[in-house]
Amino acid sequence: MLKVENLSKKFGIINAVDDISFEIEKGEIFSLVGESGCGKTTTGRLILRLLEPDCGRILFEGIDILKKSQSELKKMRKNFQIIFQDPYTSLNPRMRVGDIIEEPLKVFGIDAGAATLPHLLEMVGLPLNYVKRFPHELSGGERQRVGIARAIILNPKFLIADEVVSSLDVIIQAQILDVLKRIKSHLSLTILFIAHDLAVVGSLADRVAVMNHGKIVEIGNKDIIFSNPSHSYTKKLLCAVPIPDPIKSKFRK
Amino acid sequence: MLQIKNLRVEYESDNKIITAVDGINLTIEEKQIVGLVGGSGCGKSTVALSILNLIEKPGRIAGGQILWDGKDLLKMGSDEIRKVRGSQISMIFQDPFSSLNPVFTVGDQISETIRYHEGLGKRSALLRAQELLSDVMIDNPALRLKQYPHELSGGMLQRVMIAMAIACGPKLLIADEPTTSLDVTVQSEILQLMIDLKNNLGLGILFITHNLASVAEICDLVAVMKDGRIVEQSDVFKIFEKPASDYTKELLKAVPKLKC
Amino acid sequence: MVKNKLALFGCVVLLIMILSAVFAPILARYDPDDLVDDPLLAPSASHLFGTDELGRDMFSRAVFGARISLSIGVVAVVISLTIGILIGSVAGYFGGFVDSLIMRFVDAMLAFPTIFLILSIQAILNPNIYNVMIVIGATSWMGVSRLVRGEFLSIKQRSYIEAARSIGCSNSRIIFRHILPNAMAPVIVAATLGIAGAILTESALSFLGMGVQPPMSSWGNMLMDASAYMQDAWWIAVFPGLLIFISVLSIYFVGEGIREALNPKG
Repeated sequence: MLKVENLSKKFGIINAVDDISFEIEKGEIFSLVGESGCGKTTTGRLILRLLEPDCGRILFEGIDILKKSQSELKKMRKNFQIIFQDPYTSLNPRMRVGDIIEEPLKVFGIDAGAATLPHLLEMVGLPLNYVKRFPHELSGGERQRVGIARAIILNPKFLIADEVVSSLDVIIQAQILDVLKRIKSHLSLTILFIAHDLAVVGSLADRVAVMNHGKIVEIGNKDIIFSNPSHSYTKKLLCAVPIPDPIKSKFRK
Repeated sequence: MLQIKNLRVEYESDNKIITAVDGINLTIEEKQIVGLVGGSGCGKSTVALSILNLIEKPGRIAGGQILWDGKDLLKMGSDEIRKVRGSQISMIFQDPFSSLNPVFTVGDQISETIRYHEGLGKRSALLRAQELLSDVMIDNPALRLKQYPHELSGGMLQRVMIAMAIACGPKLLIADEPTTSLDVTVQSEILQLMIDLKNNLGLGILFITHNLASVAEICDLVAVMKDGRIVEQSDVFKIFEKPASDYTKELLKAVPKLKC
Repeated sequence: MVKNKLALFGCVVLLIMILSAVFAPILARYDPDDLVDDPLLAPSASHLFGTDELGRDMFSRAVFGARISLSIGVVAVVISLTIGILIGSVAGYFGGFVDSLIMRFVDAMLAFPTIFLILSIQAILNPNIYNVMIVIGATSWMGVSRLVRGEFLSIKQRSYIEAARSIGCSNSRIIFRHILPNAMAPVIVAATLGIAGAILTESALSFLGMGVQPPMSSWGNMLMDASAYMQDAWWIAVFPGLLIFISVLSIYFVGEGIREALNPKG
């Protein structure tokens, strides 16, 4: 569904994204994983053309989206959406929840019917009366649910989840991951899941690409890579992940 | 060594009184790493700030005792407690970058605390600072002394914070989410550093976090907090193998496991 | 919000003034332009503020003057806000070359000594209440534009703006629906203070004869010849001056109160 070829982006002299290529199949959860500064977030922004790449191709269902003008791009935006990391700044503090979620409909001039909003709220697990509330009245996890609802209201085919659980507590994190799994199967979505937490990636993704300093160092099926990493950086990363089992702890003598 | 008895902390908000910490009991011995785990808002950071009497309005300590070698820290005057802070009990925070003053070099900031507590002159304090930087395994300590905070990475800054914290040989280190904002490889190094400090310096550590996996890696005892109360407290092996409280079970279930 | 007693006091005083202005015909016992009595009479039961040098009732003049001074204050600020918000949002949103160009223009405007600019303009035109409003409004928008630009520059970076772009919002939608409502807080405070400033400027202009022309009374032009009579008829200068002073002070208190009220909400 999505094919990225030789994508690059420089910020000044730093190669944020350095000639990367990968493919995402329809219906899979593909994860871009790496530490801060590796370029995964920038890649997400490039795919949505919130940033312009220096070179490379991005093919969405065979069409090179980099060659499209802004107005043609706008029509395509219906098909790919993004959920952001920080629930505290990704929602307009002066808009009500209901308006935030429905805004994409207004931008595209679509009338989806009165049943859409309640249905969406149910899918992401928010009570109906939240429609009139403001973001500051909601918890972090609830705000993330609003962000998810906003991203799927246009029925996109492709979703980018940019570090969506990174600032959440472990229990809320698990709930949001469940919501993601639920909407994925309901709407037959393809998801690009950007994260730095390998354990989270391990519980969700089908295929994984490990990034370091703007390059993809290893890419493939998650189970294979995690059980048998071939690149030294991947090994280093996997070794560093803390294991929630004191018996297996590597620090105790 | 440190005994928290029945601590209660309240704060006022919109004419209502909210109890942030509701009667908790916790003990930390020498050479022991105690983990305080819970979701955000459960009160764990409040507990940490109470130990050194750092709670500010609209919060206030409403009851309980915090005994340090027998003396109640909550009853100490401001001069007395200032002598405890940094030299007997130290604290490090989540974001090292905002805990350091951007206009002073790293060396100056570490030596400041040494000079305050131990009265050393500038030269000797700087030398001591350099020794500390190598104790915390920073590469090239002599160079780092002259650098400014913005020139160092998050992991290095956290090491600097730890160096400042152990500068005067405290017996207890309070670490409030020290690894939460760090990359996983750096996190692993800081966790290793904390265990080394415990083993080599006999340091007691109160490790506050919401990450259960790090707790499993380095803690000896674990206390689980929810809504201001400790719902379960026991040694680390028992908590993970046979959790008694429902909340602990819920937490453990939610932790994502790396399937290897 | 109500905790701020000064702001409350300011609100009450302003309310009294506004109501007096609105109900001026009822409150004033005499027609403000009529010569109703002997000139230079001291304040008494029949003439609360005394009579002026021509024999007109000061109280009636003051109350009708409130209408003029207050409405000039408000309209001038509305004009300056409109210009300031438009210019500031374009500069702040688009940044880069557009921003530099606009801000250099703003700097140039700020460099002009506005009082002289106003005086020159008024010397050319025939001063009347309408062009006073326009001239004050057209020379006091620069501060607002800077404020708005600053807010836009910082809000533009926030995640929810990126989110709006990602769902395909057009630039104008982002500016008006997303950024502007969040940028209004300091602008509202500046607007209240702007009203005070406009009242003072109008008073100065009218005092110099370049503002509201007699026989229409504004607090400023009531002061025009008042200095000559300070020794014998202090009420001619004191009352208008006091009214200007109290109204400006009350506006400041209210402005501070609004600033505090808008702050903790973040």
